Amino acid sequence: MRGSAGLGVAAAVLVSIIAAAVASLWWTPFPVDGFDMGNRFAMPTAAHPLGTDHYGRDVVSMLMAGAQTSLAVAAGAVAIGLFVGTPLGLAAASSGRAGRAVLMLGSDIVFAFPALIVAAILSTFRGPGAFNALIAIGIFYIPVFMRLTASSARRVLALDFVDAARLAGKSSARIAAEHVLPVVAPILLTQAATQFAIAILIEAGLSYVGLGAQPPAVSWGRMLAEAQTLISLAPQLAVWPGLAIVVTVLAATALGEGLNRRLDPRFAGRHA
Amino acid sequence: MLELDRLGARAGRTTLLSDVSLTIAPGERVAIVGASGSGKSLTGRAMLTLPPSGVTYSGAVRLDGVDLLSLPDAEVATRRAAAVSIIFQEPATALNPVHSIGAQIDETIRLHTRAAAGERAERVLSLLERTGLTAAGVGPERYPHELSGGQRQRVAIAIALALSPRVVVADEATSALDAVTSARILDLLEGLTAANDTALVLITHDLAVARRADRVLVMADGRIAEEGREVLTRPVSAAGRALHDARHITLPPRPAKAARDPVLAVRDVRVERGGRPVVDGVSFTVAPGERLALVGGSGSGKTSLVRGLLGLLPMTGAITLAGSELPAGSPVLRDQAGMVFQDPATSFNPRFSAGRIVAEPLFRTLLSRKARRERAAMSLERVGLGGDAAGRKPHAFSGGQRQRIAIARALVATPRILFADEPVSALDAALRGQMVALFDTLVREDDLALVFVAHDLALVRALADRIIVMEAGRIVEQGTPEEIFRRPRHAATRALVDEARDEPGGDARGDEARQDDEAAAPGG
Amino acid sequence: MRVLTRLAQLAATLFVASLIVFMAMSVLPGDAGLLRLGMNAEPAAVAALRAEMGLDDPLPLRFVAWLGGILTGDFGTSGTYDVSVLGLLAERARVSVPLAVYALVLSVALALPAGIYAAVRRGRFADRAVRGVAEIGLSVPAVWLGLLFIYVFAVYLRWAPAGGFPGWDAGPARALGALTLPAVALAIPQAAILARIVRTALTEAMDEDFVALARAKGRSTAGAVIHHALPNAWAPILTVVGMQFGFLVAGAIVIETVFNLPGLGRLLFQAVAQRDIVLVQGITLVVVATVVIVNALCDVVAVASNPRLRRGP
Repeated sequence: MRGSAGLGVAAAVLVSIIAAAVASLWWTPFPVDGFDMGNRFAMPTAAHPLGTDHYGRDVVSMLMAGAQTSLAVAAGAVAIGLFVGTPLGLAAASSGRAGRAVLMLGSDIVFAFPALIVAAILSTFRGPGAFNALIAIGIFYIPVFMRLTASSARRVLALDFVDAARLAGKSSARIAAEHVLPVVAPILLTQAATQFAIAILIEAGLSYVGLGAQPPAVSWGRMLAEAQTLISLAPQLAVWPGLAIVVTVLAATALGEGLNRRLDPRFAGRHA
Repeated sequence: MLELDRLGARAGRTTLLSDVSLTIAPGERVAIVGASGSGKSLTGRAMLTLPPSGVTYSGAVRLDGVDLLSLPDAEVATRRAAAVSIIFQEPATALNPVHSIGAQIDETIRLHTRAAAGERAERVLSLLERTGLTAAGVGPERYPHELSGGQRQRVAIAIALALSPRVVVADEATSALDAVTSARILDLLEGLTAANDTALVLITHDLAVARRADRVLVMADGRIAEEGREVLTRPVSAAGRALHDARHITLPPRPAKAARDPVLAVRDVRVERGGRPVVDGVSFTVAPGERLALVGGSGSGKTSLVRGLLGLLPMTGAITLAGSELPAGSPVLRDQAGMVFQDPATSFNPRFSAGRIVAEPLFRTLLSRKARRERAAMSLERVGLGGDAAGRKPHAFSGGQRQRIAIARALVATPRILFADEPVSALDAALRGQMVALFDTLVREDDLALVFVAHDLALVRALADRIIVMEAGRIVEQGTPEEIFRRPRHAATRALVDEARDEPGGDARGDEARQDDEAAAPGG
Repeated sequence: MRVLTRLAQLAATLFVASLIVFMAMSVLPGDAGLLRLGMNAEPAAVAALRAEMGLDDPLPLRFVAWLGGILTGDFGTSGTYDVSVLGLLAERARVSVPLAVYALVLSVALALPAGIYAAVRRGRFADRAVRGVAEIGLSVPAVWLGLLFIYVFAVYLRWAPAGGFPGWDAGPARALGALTLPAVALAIPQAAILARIVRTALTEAMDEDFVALARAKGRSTAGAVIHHALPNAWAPILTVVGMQFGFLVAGAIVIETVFNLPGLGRLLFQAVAQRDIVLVQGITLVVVATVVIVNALCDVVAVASNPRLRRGP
């Protein structure tokens, strides 16, 4: 009861943040690439509900544009993890001892490269940018989803209904697609929501240290970095992007947990 | 001495127990029997005031007149193990895997006495001795994973008896063990409690265990349904009758048949797991319409034999199906065989509808989608699941219904041989009789050969035409139920047969056989 | 046997990881010489530099030479600083390693009692409170916490400087003082994650019969959790701690920037900005190797804590 209400609220918050981010592609209350030096550090007014920054830019518009970067990077990274990691995990679960060992060793090795390090390597050659951040987090997510898929799939493969499918003459690939994937899908979906939340945090860190989105692109992490230089002058500027991150992450995490409870509770707790 | 007075239990708004009153006198043996969910375990745990999380008790649990339910937990804790102790069901999880068994026995003594380390160590050794573990070469330094299931339950008994309590609650203490081990563990428990004038509460779903008690209580729906020793012979309550019938299965007589050519003959089957032979040269034949039972203790290789034949485990040996030789692991046998698995909870993809589950064996046929659906519906109809059953997911069915779905799936492709691995052991005793009758009918109608694995000899005696007894991967004895039950020759067979002898008037013979068994294997 | 297998696995992982670091730096588009000298450099100068850096040798040969250097402590020379990379790493590690360890200790000190308390009071108010706080804690970016700390403690209360590091020569008290705010900012999200893991691992272990048996022996709930559930929860807890370690290292690198600490993080970002490939390679390798080794250590300790695995075949 409480869970489904939480799920609804989380979904609503996330949808409105996504809507704001999408809207910012065409429209923001004020332009985010123009300076308005006469209107710097404005306190909240009806026109600027959260005030303006050191270039006189509207903070609400900045947050909307920043959401676009954060969400796009997080979604892209999760997509890479999900679409590359899941098939690899299924392969690891259905292959023999040696094949599994090789695949899992590969997963361990990639897992040892924090997204920050991959972003640093990519930035050395390509220069920093939001796309680098997306790739870096995405690479890190491949072993995350691979491990989860492999361990869940192995649990499923040990169940009797898989043997029943073998007796019916179905191939390993067909069993993976028909029997394993649908059963592990809710687990993966839940994990995707959680990893989406973590990606928002990682992206903020990367763009804060300058390995993510570059000006003129706006991002929450960059807004924090810029606010830091002005912290004694306009501390309120450090508050809004941080709150935006916290709310988005909380909503995505709650969505993940709500999904976890909602999707097939009968299987979630089973270990066979 | 111990008195439950109008005991109730609830979880949230659900009432789990109501109005359960009983008294236990020193040295008495009481059995509480019931199907799962009847509240028997909750009643047992109430004697230690140990509700599972989320459950609260009401009423009174009096020990020597003091109500334990009204005492603070710290007060009750001083009486747990010292006055009332418990043995849990599952040997795999009842002991802590990270502590040695000596430390786990010692813990009980340390928590309640001021005995010095040396004295405690001696008491631990003497408990290991009394529970027959020393004789089996098990010392206090061993860890639970190094012990067999039966040995672990002996450790649990040592813990329960460490402080010579006045009541021991055995909560399905032997249900997870095979028949042979179970009988030995119960004998041990009876002997040790009787020696100390300790009362023993046996919580069980099995009347074979309950017959050991002075007094039997049948529970159903959180209440006491019936009380007294007549339950064993002439039950009056519905719950009592259901339990009783489960052990006394009567099937319509089968006319004697002329010998027929075997539909399946296997020779010298071997299956290895982890480099160890688990099936070691087994040969048998089975004819159309014949029911062959594979019995034996756990680890005897009966399940591996079936899985090997069906190609689920790698095997070597010769398979002849209806006169033609097949290579080992050949898919041809799968096409001619159906299989019913043991656990209805894991037998089905939780995301598939019953109709899709049942239709799966038709995967390699050339039938149209519509024809497959029809065949599946017909098959479900045959096992008594008509109507909208095909559209529902597995979790919408009860355990018994799920096992019917499993049978429908096994029969949908009109096999010649039906394999079943302990097809009723995951079901409540009350449902077993029905399921056995269903097997009987279906096998008769289709003239199927049935090969089934079982450890419940009551079931075997009713259903089987021929019994194969296995031990350590080999066949040690075979014959008709008559022969096996009249003159069991092998020790393993005798132990199995003894467990099944719980009919009224069979007690004397059972006791004799039990003594034989103890003489044959002192201390297990 | 198990330990040997794990060691072999560790060696293989380290080898392949170093190969990846090397290849990433050698194969990615961009001429290392050009990166160093700039786009307008004389071709001749670029060629000379390439020869000096050994960039014209075949790739496998360069890898062997590079790995050989690493194994003998020669990480090469930083182009921008013109000093030994190993020396730079050692100097900066004097800030980064204490910071990471400080944060780890803080997060364990916060998370372990909180997780145990929540598990003991499972389903009650205290449990929900701990879980709620943890959920918020792990949704807060460490960077933002750092900023808030700087504002509150440096700008508003003026209790502490807004960042910087006086060096260990200024005395351990002052040095640790300078690391305290960053360590707390780093520790809070980590503690939130850890507390959840501890609670989950404990509640799973608590459902086992042996915990009920401990209660039946006369233990209190807390006693049963600490003596029976916790020893069984170490393995899953340690495994996740190992997996989280990469986040801790990355977090430390970022938080150094917030508090303007002269650690490996700042060195890395300067190296990236200067396109100092040798230095980026060195830092990357050290970070990755640390993550791999800590992971392996956690695995070994987890195995050692469980007799079933310890004595297994």
